[in-house]
Amino acid sequence: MQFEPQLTKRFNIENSYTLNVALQHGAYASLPKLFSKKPEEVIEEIKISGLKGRGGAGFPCGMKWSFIPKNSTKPIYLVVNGDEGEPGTFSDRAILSKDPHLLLEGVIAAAYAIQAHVAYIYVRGEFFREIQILNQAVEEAKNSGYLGSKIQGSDFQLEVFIHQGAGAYICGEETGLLESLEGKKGQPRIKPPFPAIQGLFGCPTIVNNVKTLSSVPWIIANGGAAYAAIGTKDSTGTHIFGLSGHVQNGGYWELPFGMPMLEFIETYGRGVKNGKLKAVIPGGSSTPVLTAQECEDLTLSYESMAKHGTFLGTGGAIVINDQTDMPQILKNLTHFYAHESCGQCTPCREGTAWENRLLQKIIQGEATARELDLMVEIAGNMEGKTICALAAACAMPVRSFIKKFRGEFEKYLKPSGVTVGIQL
Amino acid sequence: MSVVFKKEVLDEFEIIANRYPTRRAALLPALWLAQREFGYLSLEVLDYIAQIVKISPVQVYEVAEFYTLFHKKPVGKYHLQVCRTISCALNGALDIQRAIEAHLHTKPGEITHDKLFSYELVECLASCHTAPCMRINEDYYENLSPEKVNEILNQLVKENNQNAI
Amino acid sequence: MTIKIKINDQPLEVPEGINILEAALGNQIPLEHFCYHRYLPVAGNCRTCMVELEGPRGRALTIACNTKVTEGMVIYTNSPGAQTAQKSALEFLLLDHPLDCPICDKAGECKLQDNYMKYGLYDSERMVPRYFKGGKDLSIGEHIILDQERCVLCTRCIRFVDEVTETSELGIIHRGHESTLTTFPGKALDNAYSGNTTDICPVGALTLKEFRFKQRVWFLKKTESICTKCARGCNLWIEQNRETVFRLMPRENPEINRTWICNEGRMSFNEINDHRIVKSQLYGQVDDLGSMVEKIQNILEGVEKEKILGIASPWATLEDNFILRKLFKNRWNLDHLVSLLPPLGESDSILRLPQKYPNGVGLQVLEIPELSKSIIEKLNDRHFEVLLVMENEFWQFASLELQQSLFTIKHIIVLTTHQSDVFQKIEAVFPVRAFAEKYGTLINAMGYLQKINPAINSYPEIVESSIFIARLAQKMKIPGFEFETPVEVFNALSQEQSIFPKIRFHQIPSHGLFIPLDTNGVAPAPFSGHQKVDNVFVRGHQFK
Ligand SMILES: Cc1cc2nc3c(=O)[nH]c(=O)nc-3n(C[C@H](O)[C@H](O)[C@H](O)COP(=O)(O)O)c2cc1C
Ligand code: SF4
Ligand code: SF4
Ligand code: SF4
Ligand code: FES
Ligand code: FES
Repeated sequence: MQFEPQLTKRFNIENSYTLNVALQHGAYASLPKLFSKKPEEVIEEIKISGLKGRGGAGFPCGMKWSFIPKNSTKPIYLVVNGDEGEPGTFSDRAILSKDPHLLLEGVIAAAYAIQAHVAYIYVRGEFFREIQILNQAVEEAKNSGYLGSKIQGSDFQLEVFIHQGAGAYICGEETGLLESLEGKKGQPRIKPPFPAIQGLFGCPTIVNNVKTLSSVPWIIANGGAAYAAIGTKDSTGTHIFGLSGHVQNGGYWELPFGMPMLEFIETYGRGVKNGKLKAVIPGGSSTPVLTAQECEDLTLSYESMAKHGTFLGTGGAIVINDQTDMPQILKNLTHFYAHESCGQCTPCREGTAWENRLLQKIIQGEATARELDLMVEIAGNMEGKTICALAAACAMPVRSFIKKFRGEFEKYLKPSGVTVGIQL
Repeated sequence: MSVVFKKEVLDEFEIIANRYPTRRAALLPALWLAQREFGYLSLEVLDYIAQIVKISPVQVYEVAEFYTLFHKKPVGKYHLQVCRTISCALNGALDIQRAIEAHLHTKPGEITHDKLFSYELVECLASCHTAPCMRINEDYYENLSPEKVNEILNQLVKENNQNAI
Repeated sequence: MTIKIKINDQPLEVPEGINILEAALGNQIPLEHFCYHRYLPVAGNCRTCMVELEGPRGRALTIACNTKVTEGMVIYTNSPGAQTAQKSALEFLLLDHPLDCPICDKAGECKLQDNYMKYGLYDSERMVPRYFKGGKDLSIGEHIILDQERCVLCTRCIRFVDEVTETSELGIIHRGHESTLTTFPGKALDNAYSGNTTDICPVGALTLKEFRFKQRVWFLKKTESICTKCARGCNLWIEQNRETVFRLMPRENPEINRTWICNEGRMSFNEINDHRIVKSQLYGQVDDLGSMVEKIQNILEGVEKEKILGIASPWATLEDNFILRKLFKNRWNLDHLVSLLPPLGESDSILRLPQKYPNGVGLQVLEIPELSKSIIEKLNDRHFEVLLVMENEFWQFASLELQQSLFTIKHIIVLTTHQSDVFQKIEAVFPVRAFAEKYGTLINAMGYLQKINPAINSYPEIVESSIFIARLAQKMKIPGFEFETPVEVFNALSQEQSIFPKIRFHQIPSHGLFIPLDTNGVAPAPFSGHQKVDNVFVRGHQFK
């Protein structure tokens, strides 16, 4: 596919993470244009671009920035979400290690747009090497006047700090992340208040994903309209899509939105490994699973995913071949969510573990159809009834797996009426 | 040994603490420093961290127990974190686990008698495209196979023996 | 400012700024709530208070406790969507609950138990074995027992120690289903208010050692009263069965103590039951009441007007002090009626005040001064022949020097509630009713006139100080003492003391009546520095 890479353009250049090499290949080139605009003009440009958040929720980026109160008397913070923990997702890590200056360029633009003078980049604790690279990048940028006061001759000032997470998927949820940054457990906050009004340290805060911000420099340099012309009408621009699971060639590739899923798997993933395609979890483990058949007219876009009752999510697709036992895979996922539930909301804390226990019982051949139905009912009682979307992220796979692959679950069941509960 | 930071570490901590408007925000960095200095976070260490971050000990305890990368008990010189989640599972994570358990004679959560290795199962490490994978201390080991695991472990033992000489 | 909303199609007017949960509760619309507490920041974690809101895109679920009402809001607590959410949250809470109600002190006032019959799942419905977390009967402080298995992780107790006492002894470790409430190993939950955590715990996870296995709560009868251990005058329930007080529980008063009391106040229930004096004593020996009264009457009738010293009490009610004062005014020298106050004690910016008595302001209102230099001089000159002490155990706190001069007075008459060794030195000691046994009023340090009521009647034969003195006065044929009860005394005194509105005892609201007083009677407001909680609610609706 012919297009100009925006996010990965320096990935294959040796030492692209160093400032010198990055500068030789166009890093920070958008800054003069950025500082020639007023902050509200920058926000407007992002709105025109149609850029959506790449962290999973797909919220329009320009609109989010515009929620920051004008004339705030409190400091404003920009927080970068580099907690990348959604199973099937791994491209933020690539940006952090291969082109940290692209991210920093985006951070400068976003901070300027919302008038933040401090930005924290929250990075998953496991990304130890990436953090070293990022720290070095920040140091180099600071020494060369890309960070600090009077950035590149403008009046704009920005400090960037790297904050290392310590192992908790829930810190990817933006308010869980803010709690974690404040030195607490990463337990998501009830909303309202929303972070744009009361976020980090009680101040107006914008949280954006690494890829979202890395998309911004190109938009500044080329204009929102040019970005909106790439991809599809509702999914503008490019994204780093990932493939893992049963593919010959796992990896990530930057592509404009709109490529058919099957083509993506064939061309980039070089086809399904050890069997035929059975199912795809299209955008990270939380998104509802699709059958091979459903994938036939599926494209890599927000709207096509929605049409199929699922989500683009993080854009990291997990491919499953026809040799796979779906109940086992679902159990792998319910284990994940039970392990990662922060534990504050009753339905999520109890529900995730209950689902996992029920599935275990099913797989051990000790259950009847009632357990299976109960799993679906519990999923309904979790989704939309909690503080954050983790409960839904568990409920969606449970429901879609059981609905679309019910036969595989039923194979494990005993005829009903065999289990007799002990009445209390 | 009483647990207190050396002067240099304390200075390092104060520099980090200055990045945040509240002192508590420096808790995760403080725990990272403590883990680096003391190897793992004993209750005594947590109590000390509470003093320097100026919060109550149970608030430090809560946080230490919440995050999986903080070790609450001693770990081996080489600490293995093996991914068990979906993409790795689809690509043979179980074989990797078995190979490790056979090689080290340990179960997840345990440490070898010589204290050289400890091993635990973890959730997705964000390296799904190179599944199955694991981390050893700070580094990723990707596209694993049982043979590769054995090689890596042998190599580490060798490295350790060489250092000992 | 009020706004108009609808709950379950019922049109309501509620105060602006209120949340949906308070709006419902304030209008007698039931809505379960485990984690919400009126005087703690909203946590929104239990998810039992879910309601549906009518919106542009149909009905949407939300939690009532974190949603403020807005003009025209249409709310359903009973729609199928809301009910399923509420019911399933309770089901989840009950999933692995140990259900040891038969051995749980919370039984009878436990929010889970209330719901168990309706929503508890049988094993056959749960389909998996119960998961037991363990951690029972852990002593985590001088007064507190923790049962981790029963905890529903509502974080009320944590928010209490974080936001109210700011001592932060409690936390939850681990994640998800393994989440467990704990203290830091080896550190206790010991702050001056720790007992409150056992009240706000919606289940039997935190219980009070002093109440453990003592009494089933459904046997307890409750009486409105006031704590007498300091000048805050926190509002209490006295809870008793068969004339034994088993516990003192805070009674909500938004202005004075919210829903809290300090441990000292809470533990003072022991004093109600223990070491009471119930028989009159002559130099420490029980003696006949009738002959003793006669003897005292003779002394009082015979003493010279100037030679009797009276000691009033900051522990006694307005009525008691009023009658004593009236007697001095009518018969002897009012200048010789003084009070003795104990030294200042511990205080904080939450509730506790340094004045460790409940009615110091009452003495000021009655213009009974503290013991002055001139009285001390007279004492040293052996001027007094009779000392009349009412409910003032000065031997507990007065300087030895002062005690010595007081004990040199020839005739000492004491009205008191509790036993003491010093009675051997005292000619006549008469038992009177204690605060849990009588009607009366007190004025707290903020200027609230508050009522106490009899919770128990263990000693029907003894009377209140006020009535004892009134009867003595009647015997002495002094007019104006025709009172049979303290209530009558109050009704008279409210007419006489210009400072009170002309009200009768039963008209005093149960949350007290604010009386504008000179500043010297007014103490700092409670909870200074606790601005974090600003929940608006319907006045008069008691939060439990
Ligand atoms: C359970 C959960 C985990 C999440 N994990 C991540 C994550 O690892 N990285 C991320 O960028 N966003 C994650 N999100 C989404 C964030 O909450 C938030 O929407 C995002 O950071 C906003 O940035 P964006 O608008 O640029 O996408 C997660 C959300 C949930 C509910
Ligand atoms: S939904 Fe789960 S992870 Fe999210 S806040 Fe609630 S308990 Fe925590
Ligand atoms: S101990 Fe009680 S108050 Fe504290 S979190 Fe548990 S249930 Fe709530
Ligand atoms: S603060 Fe004072 S009035 Fe309140 S409970 Fe304690 S001692 Fe009693
Ligand atoms: S599933 Fe193993 S790294 Fe993502
Ligand atoms: S009372 Fe509203 S969520 Fe708990």
